[in-house]
Amino acid sequence: MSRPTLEIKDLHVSIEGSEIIKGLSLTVKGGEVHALMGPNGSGKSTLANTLMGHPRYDVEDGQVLLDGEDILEMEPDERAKRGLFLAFQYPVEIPGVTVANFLRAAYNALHGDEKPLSVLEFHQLLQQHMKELEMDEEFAGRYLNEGFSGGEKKRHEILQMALLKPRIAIMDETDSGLDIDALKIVADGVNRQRSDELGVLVITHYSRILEYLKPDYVHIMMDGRIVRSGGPELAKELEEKGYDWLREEINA
Amino acid sequence: MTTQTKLDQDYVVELSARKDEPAWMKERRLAAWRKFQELPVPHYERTRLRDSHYDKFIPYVETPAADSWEQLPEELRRAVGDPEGRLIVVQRNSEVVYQQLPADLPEGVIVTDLDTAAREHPDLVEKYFMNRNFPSGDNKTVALNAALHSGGLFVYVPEDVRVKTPVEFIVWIDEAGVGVFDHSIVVAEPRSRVRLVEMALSPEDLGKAYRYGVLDVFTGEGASATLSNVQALGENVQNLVVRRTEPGQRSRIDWVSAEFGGALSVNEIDSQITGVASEVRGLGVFFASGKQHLDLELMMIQDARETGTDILVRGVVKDEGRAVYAPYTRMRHDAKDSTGFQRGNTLVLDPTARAYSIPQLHVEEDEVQGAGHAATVGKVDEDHLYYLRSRGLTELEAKKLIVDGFFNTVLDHIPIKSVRQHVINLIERKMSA
Repeated sequence: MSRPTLEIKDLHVSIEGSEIIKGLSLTVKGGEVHALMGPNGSGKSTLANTLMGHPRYDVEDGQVLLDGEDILEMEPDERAKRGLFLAFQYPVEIPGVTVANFLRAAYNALHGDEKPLSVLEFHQLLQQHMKELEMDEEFAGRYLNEGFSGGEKKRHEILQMALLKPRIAIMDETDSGLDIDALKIVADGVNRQRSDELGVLVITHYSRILEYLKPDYVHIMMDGRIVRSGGPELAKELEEKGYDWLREEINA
Repeated sequence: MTTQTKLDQDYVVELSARKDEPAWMKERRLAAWRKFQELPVPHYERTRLRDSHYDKFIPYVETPAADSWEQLPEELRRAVGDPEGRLIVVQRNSEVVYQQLPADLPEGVIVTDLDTAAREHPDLVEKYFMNRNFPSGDNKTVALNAALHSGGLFVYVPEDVRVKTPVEFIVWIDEAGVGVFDHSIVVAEPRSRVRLVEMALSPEDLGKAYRYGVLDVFTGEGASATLSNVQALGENVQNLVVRRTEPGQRSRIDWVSAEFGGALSVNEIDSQITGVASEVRGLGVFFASGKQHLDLELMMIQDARETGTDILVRGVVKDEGRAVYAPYTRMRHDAKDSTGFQRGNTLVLDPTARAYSIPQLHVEEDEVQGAGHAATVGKVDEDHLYYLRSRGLTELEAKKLIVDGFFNTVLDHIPIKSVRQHVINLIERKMSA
């Protein structure tokens, strides 16, 4: 199986007439963890949801190639089937649908053909992953995201990632609203999945998670564009000096 | 194709004679016939009925009895499933053609067709057949049914007896043009317990047919009765049904209705609550698709203290289907310390479908313990669809999951497992169509 590749080429995205992403380019390969940092309003969530195919965003220009295939015309489920995964910042609550039923439906949609599992086998696989994420057994019987704490919602997103085994995973501010313990569990969960067959794009405002989920590359996004790229030390520099420092540097 | 019978008073007399009925039964049929002539069509706010809804049927069709389960039509047997150990009465078109009762039915319990009951237990039937005043549920549909009734179920449960097995009454309609007039009576004496599951079914491809059904339920003090119905008739069948009850003191009635079939279906359920500390619950699910028009009319009139009513209904409309959800709760001056609640939600899957939500809650007593209602009509949430699709589910698969989740809240409350499973299967069929 070849290394997965996500190539974003000069992407321009607007919503209701306002341009939010103004020419963004970025490549993520299997085996790499990229951090994308930026202040509020820089377009981080817009990018995440455009990549996943949310109908509300208008792509004005550019390409997004997943393993060489342009996915911008594809529906979200087609992108998921090609190995794209998004850990949502605000996972929705869907009443009456249990976690177990939802996960089984998702697993079958993505892997049911090449690796079908019996109900029992799936149950065992699910329990195993839940244990690794320190989630209670009865969690699987709860209704999707209904009454979940922030930490539970985020851990549930990582649980999906572990179960569905994507090729490219985008994490949209998965660290927001988490205390240090929950953060570690989430970071460990992602670290366990690191391999040449997974490329990860971690979108975050703060560098805290990057202590535990060490990135190979760090990019800083401002005003809809990537303004600086570097190694992990760039995150430290940003933490020390703040976004304003970078803004001044760019405008100079 | 049977020749058009002339429908008049003579026909009613002749029908009664054919059934060899006691005099009081003939008299009540005739009284009902006269009423049928006088009454206007029932008024439902979003379902316009006309005289033409009451005059197109063949009033009676000869139907052979079935000596064994295997002699019943295959499609019917498949829909009902394995009959082993169950209590089943089957009405096919105009007559009850099959009954199977378990050997361990408690003594004194009567389950049979209404004609047989009128012959073998005349005192009982005379006491309960069309012998009570139901001011709201006394309309043209009831009058026609009472005049022309044939088939129907009679259930009697003596004091302190609990019938464990659900009584399953199948109304199978498979003759095009027939009018089906099942009149059923359930009597639960004080502190007894009984559960009825009525299933109205027909072959998928049946042409037009017309059902006018009535169910009257009587509960003595402290008794409890669960009356469920699953309506999955063919797309060309007209189904008008009225169900009525006046629960005794401290008794408990659970209505459970699942409406999925028919071209036009009105299920009117009237509870006249005069028994102190009695409780009536109304649970409903419906799914209108194609060009169906489904109407669920639930009326709760509370006229006694410490009574409780609770309505919970959820439904889906798609294609050009139309559904009416019309709960009516009235807590009158005598309903001190009572509660009355309604919750109804409809999901609209297509812009061409229509959902009419007409809740009414009238509280005329100052000292009620609680009353409230909430009703919503809405589309599938776009963000919910997006989230599910981002996990690889197609749009249809995502909608199915959402619809399943939507109905789950009500399904969790359905007390009879077989009913729950039927409803789940019907939902699955509707989503895949």
